[in-house]
Amino acid sequence: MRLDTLETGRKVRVVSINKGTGAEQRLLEMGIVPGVEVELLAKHPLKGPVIVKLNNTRIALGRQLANSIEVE
Amino acid sequence: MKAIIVGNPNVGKSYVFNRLTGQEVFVSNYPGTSVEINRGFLTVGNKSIELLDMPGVYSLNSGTPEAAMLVEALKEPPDLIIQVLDTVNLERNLVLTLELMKANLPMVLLLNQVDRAREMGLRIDSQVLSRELGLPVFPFSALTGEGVLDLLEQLAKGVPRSKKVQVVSLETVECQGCDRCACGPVLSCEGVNLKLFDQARLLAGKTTTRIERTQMHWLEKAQNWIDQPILGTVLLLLLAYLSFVILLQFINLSEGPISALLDPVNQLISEAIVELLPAGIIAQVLSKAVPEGIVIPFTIVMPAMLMVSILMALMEDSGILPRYSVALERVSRIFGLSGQAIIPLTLGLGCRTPAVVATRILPNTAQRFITVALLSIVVPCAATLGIMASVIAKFNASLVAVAGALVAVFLGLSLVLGRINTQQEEFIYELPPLRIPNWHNIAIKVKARFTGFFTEILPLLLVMSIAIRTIIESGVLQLLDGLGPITRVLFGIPSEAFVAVLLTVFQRYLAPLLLLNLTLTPREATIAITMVVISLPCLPVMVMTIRELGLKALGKIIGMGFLASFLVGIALNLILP
Repeated sequence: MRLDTLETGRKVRVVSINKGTGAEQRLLEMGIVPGVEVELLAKHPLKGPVIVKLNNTRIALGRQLANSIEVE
Repeated sequence: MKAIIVGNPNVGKSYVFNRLTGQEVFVSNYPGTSVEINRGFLTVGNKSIELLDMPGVYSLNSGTPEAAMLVEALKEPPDLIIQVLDTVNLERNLVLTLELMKANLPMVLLLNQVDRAREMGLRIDSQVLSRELGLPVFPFSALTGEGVLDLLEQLAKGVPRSKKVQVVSLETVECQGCDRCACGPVLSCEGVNLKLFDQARLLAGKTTTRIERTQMHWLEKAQNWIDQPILGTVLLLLLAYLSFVILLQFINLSEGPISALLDPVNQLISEAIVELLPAGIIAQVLSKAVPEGIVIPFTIVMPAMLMVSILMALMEDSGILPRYSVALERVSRIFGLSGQAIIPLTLGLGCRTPAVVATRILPNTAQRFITVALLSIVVPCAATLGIMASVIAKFNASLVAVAGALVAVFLGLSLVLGRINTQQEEFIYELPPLRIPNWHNIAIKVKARFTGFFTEILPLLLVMSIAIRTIIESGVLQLLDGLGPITRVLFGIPSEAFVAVLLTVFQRYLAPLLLLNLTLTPREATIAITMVVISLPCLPVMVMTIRELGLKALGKIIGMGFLASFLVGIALNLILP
């Protein structure tokens, strides 16, 4: 499952991050690494950004980036 | 002795720095407030410590300019590293700790915002962390001052090196690239780096216990509302609209009382000049120019600058400002910008000079260039807004036409420029928690931004007012009448008004001074003020642009500015009845 396909409010675990968007490193350093639990807080319409909650931080991600995150 | 303050973005480094040095560096509630190193001194006992407040980084291997600055600073080893951590997000913050520990320097950890962590129901055992890492760890709050004394005591005693980590030289911390992964630096070499994350998670788990809370803090509730896609966007747009209404009302309401106060003073100045100076051209010029040079800044520019700095400081400190970048990400994407560009563009409504520096939070040079160009040419700063309002009011010019032209140029320019940014960087931004604005932070900012009025704007406007009055009285403008037919055909404005447009080369908000002294029809005033507002960056912005992006970029921006201004003049001349 990709992060951007989830419904709002779901809590999931990050499995892997697909390479190719050029932003993997920034995801990693913000703490979005395999194994962490994230909650999808919001999805902006028209393929806008998504907001995820990770521990006690909120991180806004572009839709394409969210699509590169494999979760379960 | 030299110490560096380091940490993730938006954990409160600058706040800690201010606390320790007594300085008043700007503090905001969004990642990327400090993009340069702040320097200060701290005296503990008989030790004088030079403190460097470094810009925030998530990792030493980020590959960002900020990370490069930090690695550079570590190569000339400081005597002490003070890492500021966000207690609420220990896990991620500890990754940087583990990276820094490889430098094997004396280091202390400040678990900042510990008061907020407690409010959120977290219990922190700093002793455990201290034992695990072999470093002094202090629960800390730059806001309340908790932990400051403990830190000072430790600094007086001296900080030992940790014996817990293997010594790894800095060279190996830096990336050598690897063939195991496409993304290069150490961070992505799973074998090396994900281990750090596991270790950090383990440490954070040992240190933090979560107590069940029965109630959600109202700020968290507000945050949940504002982070909702549709409702949040509506709320944010309403808030922006409300801010503009407040700004305009404030300018309107304050003009009366301020003029009432100034009128007698000006009368006096004017009379004194006539009295003291020998009759003649000089007395004639000064007796008109000085009062004008005082009235306009005080009644028009000052209220606008004051209100804008207050509103901006509130947006920055509450954590609302970065929310706009999420809500407007879709829109900015059309223009080849990522959502973060909203932050410098909004800051530009206050003053464009710091806004140009703030473009550093953008991911690439192309985006920075687009944003700086938009800032320089279209976005009206507080001073410009104030003076624009006065010209519109005096000549009964069309606000709709001026605003419409601004929006049209903004859209047109960004669409054209958006094409140069072929590489669409992915949007990723940490949203700061909402908080109640801290009045002290607000006061520092408003004070600093507002003193610019007295140190820069007032003297400049006064001098220019005298210069402009001299030009008018001397009759030089009549010499330009030859240009009249040309400017009338092209832009529908008299040649004198065109001089005002050319004056923007010196300082944009000075140009309307000349307009105020002319007799213009509403139509002429509308075109002239629009051409003035859409034109060139002011001198301070030019200097900053050279510093940040180079002379060539500035040249392009100036060229585009003139072009935009002339095109808008011609277009309005054709469109307006």
